Amino acid sequence: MAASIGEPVVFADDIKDPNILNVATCGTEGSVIVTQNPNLINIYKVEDQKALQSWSTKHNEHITSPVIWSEHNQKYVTVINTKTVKTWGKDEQNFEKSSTKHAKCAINKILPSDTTEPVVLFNNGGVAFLGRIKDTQEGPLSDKDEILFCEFMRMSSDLCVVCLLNQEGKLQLMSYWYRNDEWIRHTHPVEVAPNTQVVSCHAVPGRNNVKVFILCLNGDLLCQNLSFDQCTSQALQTIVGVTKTTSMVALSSTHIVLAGCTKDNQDVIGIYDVKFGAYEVFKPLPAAKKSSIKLFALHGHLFVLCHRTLHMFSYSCHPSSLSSILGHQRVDVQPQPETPPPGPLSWSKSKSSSSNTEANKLYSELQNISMAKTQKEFEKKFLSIMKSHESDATGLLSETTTMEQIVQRCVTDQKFWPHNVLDQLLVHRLVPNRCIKEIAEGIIRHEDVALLLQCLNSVSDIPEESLCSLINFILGVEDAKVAEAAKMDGFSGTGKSGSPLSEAKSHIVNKIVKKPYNDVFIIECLHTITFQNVLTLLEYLCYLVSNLDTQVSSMPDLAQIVSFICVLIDAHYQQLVLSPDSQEVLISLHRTVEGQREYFAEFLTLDVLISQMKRQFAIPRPRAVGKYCIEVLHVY
Amino acid sequence: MGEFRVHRVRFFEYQPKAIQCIVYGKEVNKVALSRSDGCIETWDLKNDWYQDKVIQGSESKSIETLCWQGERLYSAGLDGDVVEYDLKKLEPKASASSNAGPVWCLTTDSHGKFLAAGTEDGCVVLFDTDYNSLQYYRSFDKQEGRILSIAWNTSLEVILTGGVDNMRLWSVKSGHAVQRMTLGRVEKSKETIVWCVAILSDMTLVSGDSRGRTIFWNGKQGTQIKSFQMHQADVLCLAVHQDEKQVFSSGVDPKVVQFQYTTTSRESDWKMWVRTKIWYQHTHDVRAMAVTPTDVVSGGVDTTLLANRLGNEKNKRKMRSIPMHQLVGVAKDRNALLLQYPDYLELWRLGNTRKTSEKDGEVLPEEIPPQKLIQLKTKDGQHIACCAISSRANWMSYSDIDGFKLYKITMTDTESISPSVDLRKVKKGLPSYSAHRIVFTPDEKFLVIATSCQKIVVISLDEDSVSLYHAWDDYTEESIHQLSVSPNSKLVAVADLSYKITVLGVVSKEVVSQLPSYKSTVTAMTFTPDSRNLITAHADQKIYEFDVEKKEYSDWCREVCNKFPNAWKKRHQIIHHISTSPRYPDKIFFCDLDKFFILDKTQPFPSIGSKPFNLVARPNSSKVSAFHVCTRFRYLIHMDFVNDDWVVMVERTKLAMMESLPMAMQQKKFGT
Repeated sequence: MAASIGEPVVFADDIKDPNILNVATCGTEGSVIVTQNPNLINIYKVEDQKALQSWSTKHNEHITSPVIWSEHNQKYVTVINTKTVKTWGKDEQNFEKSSTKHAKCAINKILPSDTTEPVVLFNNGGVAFLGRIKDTQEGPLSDKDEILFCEFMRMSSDLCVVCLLNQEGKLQLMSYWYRNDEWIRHTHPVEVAPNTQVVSCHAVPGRNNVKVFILCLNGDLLCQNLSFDQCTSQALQTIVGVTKTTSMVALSSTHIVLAGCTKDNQDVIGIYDVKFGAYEVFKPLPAAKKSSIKLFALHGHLFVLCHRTLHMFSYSCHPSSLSSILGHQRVDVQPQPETPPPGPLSWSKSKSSSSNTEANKLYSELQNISMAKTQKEFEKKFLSIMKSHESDATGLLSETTTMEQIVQRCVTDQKFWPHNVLDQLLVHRLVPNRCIKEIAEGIIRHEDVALLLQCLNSVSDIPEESLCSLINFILGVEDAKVAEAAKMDGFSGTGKSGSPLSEAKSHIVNKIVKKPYNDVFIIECLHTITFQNVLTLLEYLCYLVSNLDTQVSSMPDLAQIVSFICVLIDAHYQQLVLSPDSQEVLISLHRTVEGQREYFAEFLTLDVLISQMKRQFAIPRPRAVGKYCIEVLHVY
Repeated sequence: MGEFRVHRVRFFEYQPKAIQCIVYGKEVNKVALSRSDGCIETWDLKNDWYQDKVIQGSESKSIETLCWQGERLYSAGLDGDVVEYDLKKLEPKASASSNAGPVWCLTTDSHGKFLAAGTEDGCVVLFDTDYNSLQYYRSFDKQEGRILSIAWNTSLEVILTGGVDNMRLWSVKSGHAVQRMTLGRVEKSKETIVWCVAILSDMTLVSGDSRGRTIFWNGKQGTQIKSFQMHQADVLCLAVHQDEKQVFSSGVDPKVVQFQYTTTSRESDWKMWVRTKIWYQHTHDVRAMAVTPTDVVSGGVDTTLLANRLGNEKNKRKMRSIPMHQLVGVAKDRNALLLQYPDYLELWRLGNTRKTSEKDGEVLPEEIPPQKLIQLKTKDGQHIACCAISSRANWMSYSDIDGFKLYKITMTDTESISPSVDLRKVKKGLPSYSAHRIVFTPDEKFLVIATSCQKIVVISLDEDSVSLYHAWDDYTEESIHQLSVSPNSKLVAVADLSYKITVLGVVSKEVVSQLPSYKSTVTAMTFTPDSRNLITAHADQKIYEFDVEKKEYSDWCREVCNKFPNAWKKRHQIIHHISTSPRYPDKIFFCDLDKFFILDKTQPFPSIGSKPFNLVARPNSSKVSAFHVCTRFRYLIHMDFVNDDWVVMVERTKLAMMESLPMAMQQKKFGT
């Protein structure tokens, strides 16, 4: 397994301001410092989630930049009320005794550094080391501009501050490179798709560059490859299920953690492989997503703020291989509900004809309930599509997704039952297989025997579940209705009597019995047939065995009848044995089967005679001579 | 024509052994070969490749090399002795030790006075064979490593030897090496073994080595003339044609390659050695080759002796690997079969049924299955030379090199599932001869033996005692290879390799008749059911009938003896069994390796110029012919009548023999 996410643990509760929440490394090993609220700072031990230390600010003091641990100074640093920087030692219990520095400009964030002093990013976009905050800092940003993300990166030889800005309505990637004791600034524009917005951003350091991952609301995952000299942009993947609250943290250049994405209709947290475009592992979020989600990755744990509670997940992530990712990969992207259906497809290289464009339009109209409200309108539009593609009906209309949506519309719409449309679709074999079940349900709901016949005639592979429900339906429906439908189907009765079912019903049941099915699956589904119907069906099948008429085309052959009897008895064995109603049928069946057995046993004798006769008239083959034999020899 | 019930026997699991050496004797016009079990066979080319003699070996004896010297045949092997064979008695005659360990190769000088042997110790040892002697003469300087191949050029007085990584040229006079030729190696750690060498009169040397190379050398300067990489594995044998213009090589990859010394262009007289032909006929390693004036003969692990006619690719002969002399005896009145394996005998009761059928080829259900009754092993694993069983299976006899053995068999309940069999060796009253052929008279009163010292001995068999009845001491000078007793038990016909056929009176102890001399070896003979006529089949495919009483050829014989069609006479397969039946007095039944024939004496012969496919009578055809054939049986070892309409056919299929052969060299073939 290349990646795993453990079970969630509640880490901290009652988080009031999600904006200020931050989880950072702490001076004590195995612990993290959590800026929990604008006035509360806690140190927690990761192992047992116990609060080790806590500091709180005064009433009028609000933390504006989360607390960080400065390894260089061995002190905690935070910013109060945008301009006051507070630093205090590990053993300092009283926050009031912390040393104070005042900056001239408003501070956006203090960024921790392992080797140097912490770096301060000002609201105006300026950058300075902590020791020089008293100097006047000039920055490129105005009050209207917004810093979306900032991070301090340390590479092998460079120090860099990366900021993602929304400057005058445009996205900019600003970077400060510390070279020759001064900060050199570069700005690069970031291009994202129109009508979308940046949801989350994170950066990971490389050898000489920084990879900035930008996740947009439309699912685009961009990667800005930032070095001192240049910045290249690359669209990596389109992730499905990104929402406004989604948060992302990059673990490496190939793996990111996404929290708050929708997958299989639930909000999940998962490790996503950027290279293969698939979740390696995902878990549902512990609480419903009601506000924004914040995500931190630290010490092998993921910290997720989810509805005022900070949860902790342990995780592991290794480089992916193709074998580990197999099966996880996304096969098909569900179309966005607002996007129109793909419409008719053609392999032709020439430009799509006007009829295609028209068809596209008609498709979208068909789909849209508001555009074709009534059955009449719906059928009219549908028939006009059929007309426009008379020459190539199957070729143009066979796009599965489109057809599925149209069938869904036909079946699910409570207002009308477009018999003709479904009939046409079935005749032209345009119904995708996965919709057959819904059509069967529709047939039963609307007692549409004619469509049932059409379905049996046109569809070769009907799910077992639908076969059973159709049997149940047809045995329960009125004979007159069935006879009328069968007549329309071109069935004319043979005039035979003695069958437990009416001729029309037998005609349909025969068709069902002839359909292919899987023994294992159908036994489960046959439980749904009512016992009365089981008896009727068994009686009829028993009748068929003894009165098999191979001249009738709709008649199943003996093997099909016998196997259906077998599965029917298997499915209702206990009921059949216990119920006194079934005794008569069973005795009759036994008698019939016994008769059949004797009949076929006679064939064995006949088979021996025929093979003997064949041997006598066959051309003699060279005989294999054993070690010894006595032979007759005639010499001419 | 004939309706029979056939005991089709395939449980005789005789396994011929791999051919180790082949040598051609120019003076005798015979090919001698040795097999891996130490037996030596000679094949007479004058009599159309008839296997006339088999000298039995034993498992403990190995023959690594054979050598003809005039009419004398020598062998040598791992025991370090050079052995000369008595080709009449078919046993070793003299031997001499090399005094230098195992002998790997042997050659003779062209005068026939000396033999030279290459030994394990690295010595070339000379043997003096002058004046019919065989004795150690001297040895040359000792070299490092064994000598595996040797060749002698008498006119130049040099001997060429091949060993490990090198070849040496020795002066016969001084016994010192005069030239040393080193061969390269394919791999540094893998020695190159010179398996075979040849020396031509112009001092061209030829070598075949373990790298698969056939190399022609200039012997005077010790330099290579040409090297051919024609084989994928070791070259094990070389053969040089007597005109010295053709050389043949073969080895582990079983192809035979021909090299010819020829001009390469019409304008030029410049000659060089070129590869001309390749024969792919063997399935396994070719161990030995020899060249006769007309054929190149090869044999190896696949046990088959192949002769390819030079200059005519289509003319090839495949000799049967199972010995031609009788390996199966039939006890006609007891429905039993005696099978001769190299060192043991098996007596089987044949199956039986009362059912018959009108349909050809139908298999009848066995009421009594066949059963093995006796398995008798020889002492010390000696190889059996011949065996016989009496008609009622009361007597059984065999002979190995130590002598002839007789057993009395007592059987009860022979038709039951478990018959009781008692075997008792008869020791008293028996002469201590080893026999070449043995036969019982049908009345079980006499046993006729053709001994190794060319005597015909008749032994009287009684229930209580066995005694020598009569012996023709100086009957012949040559080996006796055929014996046949008349159905009335009064006559025995004897044929030897000097083409002499005599009918002797068993009871009367006199020479009844001598057949006219006919210069073709008798391959099979039998008496007619009335014991009046003797029918003989010859190596030239002719069949004669001799009236014993009138002492002349029968009328039928005189009529047809010159009418045998040419196509019939050109047949390659030798008739190895001939038989008659009282039920069909006008018919002669005989077989070769893959066909069973009936010769109907009442039918006319096809014309002399008949095509091969017109020789035999065919069903539904208006043409009549005296020859009738059945090709259903393949690889026939034996055919004989048991009762009236019962025939025994003993088959040993090629496939069954191939099953027990070792793996051949794997070669990529197209489509595999």
